[in-house]
Amino acid sequence: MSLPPVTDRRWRDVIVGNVTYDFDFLALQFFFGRIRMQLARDSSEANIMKYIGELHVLLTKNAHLTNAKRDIAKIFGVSP
Amino acid sequence: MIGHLMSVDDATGAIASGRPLLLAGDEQVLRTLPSGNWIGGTIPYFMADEGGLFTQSRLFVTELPGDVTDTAIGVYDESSLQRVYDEIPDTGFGILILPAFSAIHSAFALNAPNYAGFATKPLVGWVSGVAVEDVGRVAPLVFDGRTNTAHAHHGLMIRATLAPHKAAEIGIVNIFWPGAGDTLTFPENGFSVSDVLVNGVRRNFAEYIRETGYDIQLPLVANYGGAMINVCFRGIDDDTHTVHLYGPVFHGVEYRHSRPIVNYVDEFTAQVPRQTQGTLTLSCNCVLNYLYSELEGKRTGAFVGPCTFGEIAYQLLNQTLVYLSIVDVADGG
Repeated sequence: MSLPPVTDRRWRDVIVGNVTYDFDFLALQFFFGRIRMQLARDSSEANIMKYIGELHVLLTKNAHLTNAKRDIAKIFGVSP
Repeated sequence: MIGHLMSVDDATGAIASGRPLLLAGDEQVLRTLPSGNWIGGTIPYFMADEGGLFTQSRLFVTELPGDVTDTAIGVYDESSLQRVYDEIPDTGFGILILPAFSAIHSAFALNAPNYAGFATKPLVGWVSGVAVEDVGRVAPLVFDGRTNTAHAHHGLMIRATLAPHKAAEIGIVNIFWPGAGDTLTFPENGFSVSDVLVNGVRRNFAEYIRETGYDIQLPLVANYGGAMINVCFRGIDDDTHTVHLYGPVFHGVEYRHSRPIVNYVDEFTAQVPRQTQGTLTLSCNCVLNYLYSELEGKRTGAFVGPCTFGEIAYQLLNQTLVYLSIVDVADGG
């Protein structure tokens, strides 16, 4: 199973912080640590789309790892 | 699979095997080694099988496991370092060593989260150092074993490709946790700080630390999406009222002073994951944990390796144990 397309609303919700999770995958924790401060400075649509794209790449490349699978399931309800 | 402290003769034998190696040791010892498929960095502090120790006559040698099918070594300057994540194999990992107090160390600390592909592939490593009494007198170095070349201003990375159905996972153990005190934010990114916002009120940071009696052996701690990230104090310059740090603070991040630590080994042991045995490939800890928690002669279980001037788990960390494990990946992911 592949990840939902970047147009899926859940990508946006997690990037802008409409929903928050306690993530297990260290890379994801650092990713969100970084984008939270960057979106606080610039929450433009372009930036949101940029970070959705980066998150999609990060999870796609790591979807085989146990902790990443667990976090994908938190966001999308099912592991790829 | 994890490394061990070795004599120069034993390390020379390991190099002769041709397997890719990661070495840590004193500069004079590293300079005696033959060329080969290795990278190294200077550091004389270690957590070893026999416990924490300082040695300038032995080396910590980590052989990359048989699951690694190919390696390449890259030398990086501040410009090429921006490609560090993209150059890691898609099915592998990177091990990066940077020389402490160099411009490339600062560049990575400040900018890595903005490099292309940040955190998309596993990157671990450490920052080389020297005996603490030699800081400022002796330059930390990294060594390219292919040519026995020492670098004070460049970084080195082993790019490792893994066998099919294997993957690299990075973990950290950080016993520090934000205390209940003031919320600190900083107007600018940097390793040296004059001003701080204490619960939103601008103060001189050095004066604030003196007034509050901060224990500067305890780091500032920030919550990065659930991961606790430390920033350690290097010293306070009372003449310039400037606080110097071993890692940068970032504008927009909320920090708190760490809660006190009663016994490092006890708290470390309580946090160590129990299921890394057998797949643990390498680890490194912070020299400040070694020094402040008086780890000499004490053991931290399977987590042995150099005690360094900075640790890398995707990005630069301080006062944190970093480890890399090789795990099986089931068919179909």
